[in-house]
Amino acid sequence: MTRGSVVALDPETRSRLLDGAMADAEFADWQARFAEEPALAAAMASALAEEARLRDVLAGDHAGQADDLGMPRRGWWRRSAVWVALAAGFAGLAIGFGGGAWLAVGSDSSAVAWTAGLQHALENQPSGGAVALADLPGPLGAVTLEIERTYRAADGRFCRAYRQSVASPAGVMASTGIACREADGTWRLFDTGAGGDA
Amino acid sequence: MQRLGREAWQKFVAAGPDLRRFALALTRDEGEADDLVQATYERALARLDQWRGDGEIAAWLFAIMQSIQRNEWRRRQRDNAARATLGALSIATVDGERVAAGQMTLSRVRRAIDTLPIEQRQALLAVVLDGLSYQAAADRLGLPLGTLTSRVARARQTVAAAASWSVEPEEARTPQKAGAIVVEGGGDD
Repeated sequence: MTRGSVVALDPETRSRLLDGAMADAEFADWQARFAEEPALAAAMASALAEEARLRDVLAGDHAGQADDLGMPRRGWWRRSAVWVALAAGFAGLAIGFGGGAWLAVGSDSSAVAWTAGLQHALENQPSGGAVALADLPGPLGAVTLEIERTYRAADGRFCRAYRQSVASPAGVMASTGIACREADGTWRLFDTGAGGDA
Repeated sequence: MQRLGREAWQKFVAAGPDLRRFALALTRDEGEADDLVQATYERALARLDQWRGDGEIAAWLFAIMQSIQRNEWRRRQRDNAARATLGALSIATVDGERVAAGQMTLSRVRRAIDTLPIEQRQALLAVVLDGLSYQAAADRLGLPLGTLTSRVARARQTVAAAASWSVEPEEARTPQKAGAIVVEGGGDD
């Protein structure tokens, strides 16, 4: 990965590029340079990744602020303004059952439904079965969980190896993990970091 | 070589939050998700001429992300074949730290936005949230174009700096101290 690129776009140029706020000729010139100068493309990609995070938070936390400023709301990505409020609310929920960080969810209610569905499936779904956990809004699609096998860990806890898949406009991909049942009956998720094509 | 028009570019940038959510679903790790978004954009920027222009550019970006992730997974599957079976206890510690660090990143972004000087925040929201052109935002706020441009850039700088703090390992180990961090908004222009 390319974090920390040594090539720096000056802040104002970077900001104008993110907003497309420049003349056509200058804009075209920058696009040509991105194709030809990998370090420059890396610097711009870093700015775009930061912008994604910024817009995530802005859309969730400042949904009412546009009205405060007397300005119209625009931009197709704002349609997801409510369900983009992922970290503050739902991350607490995610860490509540031990990580997993399944933040890419819908509204608060669908986050709760997803979490509840995940816990319910881990508790009740037989190995080998698949269950739909949620349908994500926007360009994303269904999330399904498949429990591959169940075993007892060395410390006595029951653990289940699972596979979770997520749909996007470009197809479906899956990731894998392990969930172990805590003493209080909740299932704690552990990322195995592995996955594969769905 | 084909270049993106203004409208396609705006969609290219605006796809970021959805890309990030998908990356989070794939990686379940904020740091990895941000890296994946960045790698996706980096590859796309290098290949803008390969976008055919006859579909949604967001779908093209999703396809790039999946290609990158698929290759990464193949590599990890080889590395983790043994670990993935019964290593839950050792994984737990790592996972907990990663989740805590990820939460801090977004909370810092949020706090940085909240503590921006009002002039910078207004400029940023007018452009990013409301999609106004720089000139329209400057008109709306009664500012010269150069001042508006500078305020938007400075706001982004502050937020990016706040987010980057979370990668410091000592802070990742002591998330309970996050509440003590004060973001300095700085002056204006």
